[in-house]
Amino acid sequence: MSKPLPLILDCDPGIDDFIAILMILAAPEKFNLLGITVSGGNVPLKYTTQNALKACELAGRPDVKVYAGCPSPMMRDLTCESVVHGETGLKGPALPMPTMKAQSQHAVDFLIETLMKADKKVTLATTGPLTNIAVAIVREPRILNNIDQIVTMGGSMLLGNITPAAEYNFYADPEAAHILLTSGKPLTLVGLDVTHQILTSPEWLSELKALENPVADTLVEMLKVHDYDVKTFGLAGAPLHDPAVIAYLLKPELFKGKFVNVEVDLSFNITRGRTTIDWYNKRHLEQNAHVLNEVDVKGFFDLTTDLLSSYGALSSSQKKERMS
Amino acid sequence: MKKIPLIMDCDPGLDDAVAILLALASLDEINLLGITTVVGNCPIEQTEQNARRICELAGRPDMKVYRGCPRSFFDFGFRSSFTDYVGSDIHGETGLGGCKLPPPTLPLQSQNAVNYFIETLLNSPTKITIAASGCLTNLACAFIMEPRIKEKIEKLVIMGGSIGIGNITPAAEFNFYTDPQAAYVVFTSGVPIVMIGLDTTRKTQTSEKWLAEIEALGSPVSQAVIDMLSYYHRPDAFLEVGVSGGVLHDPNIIAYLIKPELYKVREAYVEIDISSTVLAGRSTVDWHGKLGRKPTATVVNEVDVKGFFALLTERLQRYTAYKKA
Repeated sequence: MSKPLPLILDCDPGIDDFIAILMILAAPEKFNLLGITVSGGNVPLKYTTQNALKACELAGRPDVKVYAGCPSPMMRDLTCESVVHGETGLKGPALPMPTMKAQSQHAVDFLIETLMKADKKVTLATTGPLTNIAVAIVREPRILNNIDQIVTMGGSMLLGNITPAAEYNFYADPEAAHILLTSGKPLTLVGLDVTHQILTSPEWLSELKALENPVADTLVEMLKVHDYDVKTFGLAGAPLHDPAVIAYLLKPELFKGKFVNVEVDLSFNITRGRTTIDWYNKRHLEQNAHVLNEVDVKGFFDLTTDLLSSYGALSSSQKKERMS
Repeated sequence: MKKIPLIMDCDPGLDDAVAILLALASLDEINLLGITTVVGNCPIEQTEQNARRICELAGRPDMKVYRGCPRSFFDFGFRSSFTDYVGSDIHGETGLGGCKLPPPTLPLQSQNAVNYFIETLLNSPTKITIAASGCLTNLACAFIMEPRIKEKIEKLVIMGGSIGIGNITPAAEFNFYTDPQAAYVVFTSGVPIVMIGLDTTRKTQTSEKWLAEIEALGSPVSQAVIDMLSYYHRPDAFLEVGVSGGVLHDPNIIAYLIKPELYKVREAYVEIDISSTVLAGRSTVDWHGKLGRKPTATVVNEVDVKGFFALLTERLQRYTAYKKA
């Protein structure tokens, strides 16, 4: 068996980031999670940090190191998505306040220190605005030498979601996305073209329920009320954006894509944050991203269910509680 | 007069070096807490070394020097190559012109400049003034990482920008051009800003007469200043049209803190251009209030040149006394 992949997750939980954390922590034999860095995003930093801690505690992993980072994007005020994720970012079940604490070190310092010291290249999974990583690159560009790959949820070839043009993570901090896209390190982009294919369904929620474990139960409660995309975009279910990043790291063969040039719009126009993805290489520019556009939907959900099943069945007292 | 607690953020550079010497000679007015360095006139390895060299030259081996960002927010290939070329043309290969100071023995602080800003400002019971004479990357990173430090800044005196034409491009002044995005972050931060741009600094040009005055001081510091500034007076020096000597851009921010009465100012709305057009890094100053927007900076446009050089001579003279003592 291959050694666990050294991994840092940069995120802004958010319901789908929350699921992504639980997927990572369900596979300790696959991932050596060095830390979770958090930025302001879907909801303000106070809540995203809290939610990351809640995810770790729900997974029974209070030992995971969580670092709070930049509260706002590089050049603009933060646009939140409270309408999607709820005021605190985790609409639905009332989870207990975390007893574990975030580390005192700033996320940007953790990224620089960890990457500069790493004896083995580290994989970055990002599921929020890219502010933390961009600031780390500006401060210490040599960290790029110790990054194995960066897999980013962001961008869209088709329509956007936060605006008609732009996907949320890239819209929230386009300048940070630009810094990553021009870093010389190719990004793997998991955009809306993929994530709008992996939609929750009543059948899958029943499957999760049947796992009879408290983690899956919590997710079912969350996903039941996670209906913004259904109402706004007419999607058949809730898109699991961020979990796609983790699925790609575990089973890249579930996805198809192409190496192309991607440029993010930095204007203050209606197109701000839009990714122009040169799928047909019309501009003959550097291939700075591996853009995914196809996913094996069944394979994705099977993998996710399988991961979540590892959290074990409920105890008899929990079952009794569940029945009532 | 109450001493101003000050942090200098710079990229020495000839004129930054003179600014440091001016600050360190003004102990009655300025309490210099630390010097942070950034890429700019030369690569970061040189700017931080030069800062340490200058502190040693000034007899201040106790000074704390911090290394900051080695690049700007956006890493434009054209920009760094242009910078390399023009930077070394103006400031010489080492960034200190013809001045050959030994490698510094003063240690570099291990803390990063950005973290130094955050820690010092957050923990300071009183507000601190910052004088910036390079690109604003360090400060912008610090603002993004820890926005609460903004409240701890008394004011930010910046050498940068121009009401009129630029120097590195027709539109932009060098410090803002090398990192327009960082300048944008700083100018939209709400921190009180004093902007001293080319309109002012172009007026403070060295003359042969003033250089002779400094040379006559006969101290190691005055000799180093001559070695540095004579670089501007060499026959093949890169000079702007209408400029006959070295332009002492950066010492103006320290002179402003010591003797604000040497300067004329106006409150104005300033916006930094962050496009990728010919305007990149331009500071648009709404001098006449045409836009009706709330002023974002105190913009300096005039300086008492004679008073400025008199101050500089008087302060550099103090090093003579120091050396003799």
